[in-house]
Amino acid sequence: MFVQYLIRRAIGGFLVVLLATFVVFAFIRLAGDPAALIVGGTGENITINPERVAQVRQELGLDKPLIVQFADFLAGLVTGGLGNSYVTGRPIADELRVRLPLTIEVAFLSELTAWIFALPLGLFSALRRGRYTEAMTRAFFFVTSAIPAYWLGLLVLIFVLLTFGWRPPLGLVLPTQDLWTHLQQIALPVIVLGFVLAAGLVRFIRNAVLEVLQEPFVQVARAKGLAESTVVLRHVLRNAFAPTLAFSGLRVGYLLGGVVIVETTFNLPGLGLFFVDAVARRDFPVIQIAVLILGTAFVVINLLTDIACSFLDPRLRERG
Amino acid sequence: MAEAVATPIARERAPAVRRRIPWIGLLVTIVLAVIVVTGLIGPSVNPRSPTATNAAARLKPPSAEYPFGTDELGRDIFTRALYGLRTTLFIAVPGGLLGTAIGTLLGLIGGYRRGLLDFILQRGVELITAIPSLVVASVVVAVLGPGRLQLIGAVALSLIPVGVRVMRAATLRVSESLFCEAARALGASHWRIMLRHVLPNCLGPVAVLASLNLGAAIFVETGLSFLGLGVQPPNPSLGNMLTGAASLYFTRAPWMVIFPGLIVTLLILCFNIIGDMLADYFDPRLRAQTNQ
Repeated sequence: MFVQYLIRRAIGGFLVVLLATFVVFAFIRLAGDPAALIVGGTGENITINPERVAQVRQELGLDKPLIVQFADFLAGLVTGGLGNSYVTGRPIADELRVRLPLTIEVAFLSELTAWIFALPLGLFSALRRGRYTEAMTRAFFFVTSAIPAYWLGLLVLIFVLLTFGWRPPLGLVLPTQDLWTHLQQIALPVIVLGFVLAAGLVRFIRNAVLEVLQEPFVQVARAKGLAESTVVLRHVLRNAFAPTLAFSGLRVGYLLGGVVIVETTFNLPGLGLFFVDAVARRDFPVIQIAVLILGTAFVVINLLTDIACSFLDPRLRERG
Repeated sequence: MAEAVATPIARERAPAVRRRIPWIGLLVTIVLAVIVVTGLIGPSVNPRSPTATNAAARLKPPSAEYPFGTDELGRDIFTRALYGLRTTLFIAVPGGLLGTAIGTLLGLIGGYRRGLLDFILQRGVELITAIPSLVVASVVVAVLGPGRLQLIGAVALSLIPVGVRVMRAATLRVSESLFCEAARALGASHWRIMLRHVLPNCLGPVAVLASLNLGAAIFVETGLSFLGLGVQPPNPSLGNMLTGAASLYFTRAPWMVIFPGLIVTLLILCFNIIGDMLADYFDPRLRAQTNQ
């Protein structure tokens, strides 16, 4: 039952991503002529040689019907040939090999940081329920959710430089080359994004814990004389964990959007910066691939959280 | 008719609705009003130009003459922030309201009609939700260019899914009500039921949504401009004042980034708090659905 449900979800999610890619794909080709863009650039009054445009159009296969182009694009995905960037002419796959690991690393560590911030805070404010903790959680939530990540990033950079005279080393160093320098480079972006993500998480954890605390099994656990710490850790937290996990799965879009922002703020050459540069230069193949990757990440992560939740809470396996 | 419409919702309302201290709401509304009015009339009152450079006054810290200091070209940051605020408001407010209106309407139709239309709408919503809102807006800008109308459209598009989801849930609840059935029995058309019976009973969620969406619209607009995809320099926007030269000079002249970002944060904070208070006012249970 549950496996069938998961398979259905996976297929549905995959179709949605495929559709999203197709919409972007068609949108780009219907709104303007990429070939003219490559030949003429983005300037206003550039004279464009129509023969050259036709030639480029043929080289890139832009003269074929839309569906055929899309099929070619998909075939390219399967064989690993992602096409070349319009701007640099370099294969996109080569770029991604360097950029994707960095983005995954930043995203993962940021989410982890958010949990490290949010779990104790949310738990504490739920267990010490009262006017002050309520006001504090609220204030924390409002302030952190209003601060844009890019501004917070700049403030942290200023603060660190003025107080400690330190700034992250320039030029990305891979962890395989020099782990310590690498960690210095990604520490600030990860902390900033983790803090921003923690805003909603604290509030959700607090509400989830408060809800579980009202369940009869908590009363039973207390009545049979378990230590309060056991009640909280073994019974309350475990049951509040599953909905929180599902919640952060649904917020993956928020996380990925945040990664795009901190990569730009801290000048980390990951997928986010790749995408932003591509948009600024209207490098459409790169935009397409980036959208595809981000959408796939959303679907895959949500599937994984679904599976994880079903292990944490067997009742969820009943649905489907 | 009006009483009959109001009763089912009123009965569900929890007793402790108005427990919040009103002075916070008052304060927030005043702060928001001051910022918005400053943004709207400030540029016309202030005689300085946002793009006039002054080589003698480069990177000056805040003073009586330059309340927010000057940037690397000697431009007055206070004046630039005023114009930037106006630009941001002129894009984010129409974008936010448009996105809310379209989302609400689609959610209303989908939730009321169900069936195939609803199914297609739901898949469309999933499609946009699967991709970060800032990325959705960026793609629109990449294809259509960074003009003001395109930016408004990009902001609106990125906000539609939330609207559809919130409004659909509210519609599903309300359209089950007896008064909708009564209206149907009396022979009212679908549009009449949707607009005269369902929509007025969903005003709470819509008001909350509009307020939160305005905050989100400001975030998307300033974010796009920060990434260099929105309002193009030399025209100031609160977002693009933090990039370009600012990213080179901000450690020597922190005021270049502190003040524009502070205004953005205050604006979003105000809209979020008002949204939260509206949610409390209309229905305390709603908060869990609309706020993340």
